[in-house]
Amino acid sequence: MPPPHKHDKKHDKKHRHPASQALRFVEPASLDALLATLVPGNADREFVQRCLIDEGPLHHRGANYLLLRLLGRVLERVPGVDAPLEGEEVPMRLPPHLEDEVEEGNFPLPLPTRALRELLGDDEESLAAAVDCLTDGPPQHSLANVVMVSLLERLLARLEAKR
Amino acid sequence: MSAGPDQAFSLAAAELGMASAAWLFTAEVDRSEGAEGVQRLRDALGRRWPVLDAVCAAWLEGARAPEVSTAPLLAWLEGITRVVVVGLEARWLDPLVAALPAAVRVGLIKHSELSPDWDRVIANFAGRVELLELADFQGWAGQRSVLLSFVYGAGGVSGLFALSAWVRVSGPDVRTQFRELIGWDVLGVPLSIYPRWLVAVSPGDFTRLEAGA
Repeated sequence: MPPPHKHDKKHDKKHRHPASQALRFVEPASLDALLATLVPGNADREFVQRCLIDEGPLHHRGANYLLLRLLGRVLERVPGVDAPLEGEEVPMRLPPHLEDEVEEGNFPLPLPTRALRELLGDDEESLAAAVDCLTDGPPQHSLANVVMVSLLERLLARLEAKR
Repeated sequence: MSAGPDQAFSLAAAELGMASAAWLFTAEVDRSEGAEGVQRLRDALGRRWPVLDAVCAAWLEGARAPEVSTAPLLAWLEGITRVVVVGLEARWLDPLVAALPAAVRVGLIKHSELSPDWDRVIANFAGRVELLELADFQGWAGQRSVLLSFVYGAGGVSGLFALSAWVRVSGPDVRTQFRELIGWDVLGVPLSIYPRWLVAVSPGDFTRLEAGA
């Protein structure tokens, strides 16, 4: 066996959890309960949840779970009645030559745009660019962005209602 | 044994599927030659066709072709609009296609090392199943689309196997373009020879694993 690389020790300390334990904190039922407020259909929600915490690199799965659960906890501390979320469809990443052929090539969860529109001062060009940024990339990114924006929009609306 | 049975089984496996052809051949040989004939069939072709080997071995232990069960699978397919089928097992696909609502489109990936006559394969479904190329099957992706692969050995200790077509179509890009990735186990008897023609896969590759019998 070759001698350990000089960086190995430091690396091992920093990444001391084996892959089998890297997601030990993930409780799918807890995330499911949070997602149920956004995606009521069971099959749709299972699909979204799989994209968030069961596909892609481990660190994305874990980070998605933690950030969404924390946002969910913040939202719980600001009770309120939520208006329906409306916004832009979130496209799947399909091969370019097939994009126009797929009739149902969007994820079952839209990106809400009310809070973004307010943030960007009703600048439609900027809003379109923001939507592009938030919905591009693999679904470990795009769907996590959409859920976060959804929760943040609800939170902002609840806070506004309390003012 | 001459090359005849091997060629005949190869053709049947290509155009019906390995498990479908195995149960059919084993039953026919048993009918004409009895258990000794099944043993000869196993000895002659088993090493080349491990699914046939498993079926012959099970037959000699008293097993018979299982009744195909589509009900659990149909429950998972409720509300979907497209099923993309990976691999071919006519004994299972025929009743599934018959049970699906007419509005559900069914596509079959046109990929097999056994080089079937695809026109003849598709003709068996009377226009109900469409052939899909590897280059464009993602045109059937969507939030109400399902990838369905035949798998072999889900209940055994030797592992879970699928046709190579499954490996070709189930990459990380495709996995998040379909609502469900379903493995449908059509073997139901243990494999004793490492299954050439098949690829070892992980149960975690699928969102559902259903027994086909």
